[in-house]
Amino acid sequence: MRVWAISVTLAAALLFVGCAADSGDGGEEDKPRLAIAQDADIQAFDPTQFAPSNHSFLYQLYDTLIMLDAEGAPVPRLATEWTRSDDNLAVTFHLREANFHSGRPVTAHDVLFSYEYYTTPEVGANLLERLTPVTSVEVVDDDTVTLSLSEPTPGLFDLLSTFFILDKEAIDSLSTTDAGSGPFMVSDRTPGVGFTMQKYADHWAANEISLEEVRVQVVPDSTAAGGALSTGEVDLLLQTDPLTAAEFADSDGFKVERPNAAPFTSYLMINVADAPLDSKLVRQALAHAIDRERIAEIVYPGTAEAACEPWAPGHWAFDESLADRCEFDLDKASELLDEAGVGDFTVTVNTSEDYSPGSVAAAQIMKEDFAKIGVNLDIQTFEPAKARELLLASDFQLLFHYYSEGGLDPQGMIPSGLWGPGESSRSNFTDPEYEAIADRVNSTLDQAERKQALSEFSAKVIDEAFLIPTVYTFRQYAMAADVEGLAISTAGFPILERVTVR
Amino acid sequence: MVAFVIRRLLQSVPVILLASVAIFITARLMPGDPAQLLAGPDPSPETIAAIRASLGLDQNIAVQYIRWLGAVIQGDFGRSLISGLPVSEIIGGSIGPSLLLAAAGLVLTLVFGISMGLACGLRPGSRLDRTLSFIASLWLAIPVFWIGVVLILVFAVGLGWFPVVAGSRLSTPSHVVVALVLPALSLAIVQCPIVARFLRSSIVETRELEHVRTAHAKGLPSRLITRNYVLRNSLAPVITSTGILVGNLIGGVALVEVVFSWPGVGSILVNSLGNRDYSVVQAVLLVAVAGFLISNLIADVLHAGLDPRIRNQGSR
Repeated sequence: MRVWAISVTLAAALLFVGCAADSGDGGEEDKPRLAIAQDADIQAFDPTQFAPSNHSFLYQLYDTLIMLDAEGAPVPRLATEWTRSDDNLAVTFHLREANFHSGRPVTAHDVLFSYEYYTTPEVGANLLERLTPVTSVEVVDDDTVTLSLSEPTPGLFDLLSTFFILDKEAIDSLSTTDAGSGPFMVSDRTPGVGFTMQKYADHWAANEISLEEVRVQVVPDSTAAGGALSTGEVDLLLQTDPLTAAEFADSDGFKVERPNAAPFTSYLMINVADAPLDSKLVRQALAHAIDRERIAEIVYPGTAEAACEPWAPGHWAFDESLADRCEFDLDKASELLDEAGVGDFTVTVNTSEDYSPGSVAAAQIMKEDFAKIGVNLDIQTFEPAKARELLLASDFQLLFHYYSEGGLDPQGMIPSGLWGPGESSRSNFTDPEYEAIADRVNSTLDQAERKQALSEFSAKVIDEAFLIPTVYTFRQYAMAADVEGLAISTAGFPILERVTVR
Repeated sequence: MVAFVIRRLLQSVPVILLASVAIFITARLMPGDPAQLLAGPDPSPETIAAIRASLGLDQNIAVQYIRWLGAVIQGDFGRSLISGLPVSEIIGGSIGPSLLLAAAGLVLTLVFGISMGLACGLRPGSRLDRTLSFIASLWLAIPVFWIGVVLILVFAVGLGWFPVVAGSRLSTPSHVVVALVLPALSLAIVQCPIVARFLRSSIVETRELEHVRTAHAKGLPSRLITRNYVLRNSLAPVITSTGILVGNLIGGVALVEVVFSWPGVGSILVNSLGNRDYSVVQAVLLVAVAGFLISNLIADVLHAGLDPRIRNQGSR
């Protein structure tokens, strides 16, 4: 009986403590705060790493030279003005008066240091390959810096919008604090738990920032994250799965925002190195046997639409006239296979639910349709790191994955392992005509010429079917109804400096 | 007793060494590596090779192991390959909350388990025994993370009695206690059936022993017999099961920490596994092995304290 009594007393005590404990921090100053939940801990406060878990701090802790507005035009940040040389092979930036969080002034020497840091291979900066057109950075004076280019580089401003300027004297402390000059600064971090950012009072735009504090909390479990939003423990979910989005879209006091910027483009990549996938007709047959509408509807309910070309509607490179070239047509697929002269065959598709969300379900839908044209689809599912290893090594026949760079200037992806052209292509597809088109995309600053070249590029991609876009998935963020002003950059990074919380 | 403890400690040394080899090799056998994950979406092979070299991963695996072990023996677990933080700092900051959660889970497990075991063991075959045994079987079959999610939905989201995100509210002792309730309860629900079953069987067996029958025959009061003759002799299996429980708790705590965002080593381990952060994964697992060995040692010492035959086994 005594043990029972202890149990009951203990339970009652816990209940009492639970009910009696503070429900908030009412004793503290009532200042505008935002609490965010994200599903994994940051790697470090290193802005050269664009892992999704780092997105929450990038634009908050660091400034860039310029930003892009909604139309993709550059607007001032640390640089107030800029001029291109007559030959378009140099751009000179004039910096504003600004300070790093350490108190040091931001100078042209820091831009040079940042460039050198980003281009050191050991650092593993995610911009390393994209910085290739920038051949050097020259400090003209403390407030002026010139970037020299190997080609006109139409995607330069896009690139610079994610080129975060680093404080060279704080670079060794990125594991515990930041080395930036952004609108917020790190005030504390507990590994595995989260971190807090306080408004940087000396920021050049501090008067326009409403939030005093941003708390980023690691909540790995999506059910718990949804629960934390519903109880008010957090105000915003940086990762919102379709189920959670559906739950909050119709709930009083909550909303779900779906910005068009930076959609994810899911794709099926075909390795053209081996028969029968080296046949264009076979690849076209597979492309016509993919029911993209059904994949969008079933696998990504309410958040996706069928894709056909590399860039989604809303991006300036999207060409409406190509949108009807990817119809789901099993009769046509069968005819193409007959024309190719291949009988029934089996192909393997690599999927990974964590590395490529939705890929397993999409492959199952494809398997059903492929069977109707005599193609047996063997679905292989891998753990994320293995899936990435196979992708980087071109070790696959078919592969489901996605890219998140669909909001960027196409120069950010051409050339790349994704699109090629050339030996770097992971699909092993290359073709002189395709290479010529790709060259034209990046060789001019004339937007009309580029749009024409990109239209031809997209048409070629659809025709060759070595990389088949399947659906565009749009980012979604569940949040409390009183959170306003969340912006998403073209790279898909949240920008919180205009956020207000009533 | 001192000789017994020293003997058991010496026996632990080769176990730890073997575990360190297994942990090191297993970590390297995982597909992918930190260099591939750090290199961004479209890295060249040269970039990956440069990062790998900077992390020391281009060295022979035996060389890597010997360097790591040498540093660990000197108390240096190195730095996280991903965040750059000292591993000892990462573990040092998170082991306290993990131990607290494990201890709370263990206490609740013992309280619930002993209560259920007593209720069932003292009235075997009764309706109460059958009902509690059924509940125990059910709890034993349910995964701990599922229990955690259900508790969150009912008591945190539905009733609002406890926080959903435990890690966000550990600023005061009352917050810690409140945040601890649901995670500890999750652990206890899946662990207490083990204690209950051990205790029930033990009580049923003990009640049939001759000295208990003799006590009844002598006309001693039932309460006295239960307390002095039955319970005391039935506790040894519970102590043994506690050693097993601690092993289960180490695994269970990791899952519970993830569900409740509890700031412990389990959360760190899961995150580090995803990032292939070898130095953190190796250190956490090695600490877990050491913890398991120590808990078993404590259980054995307690057992030996209760049973002189055990502590004298090795000395004959």
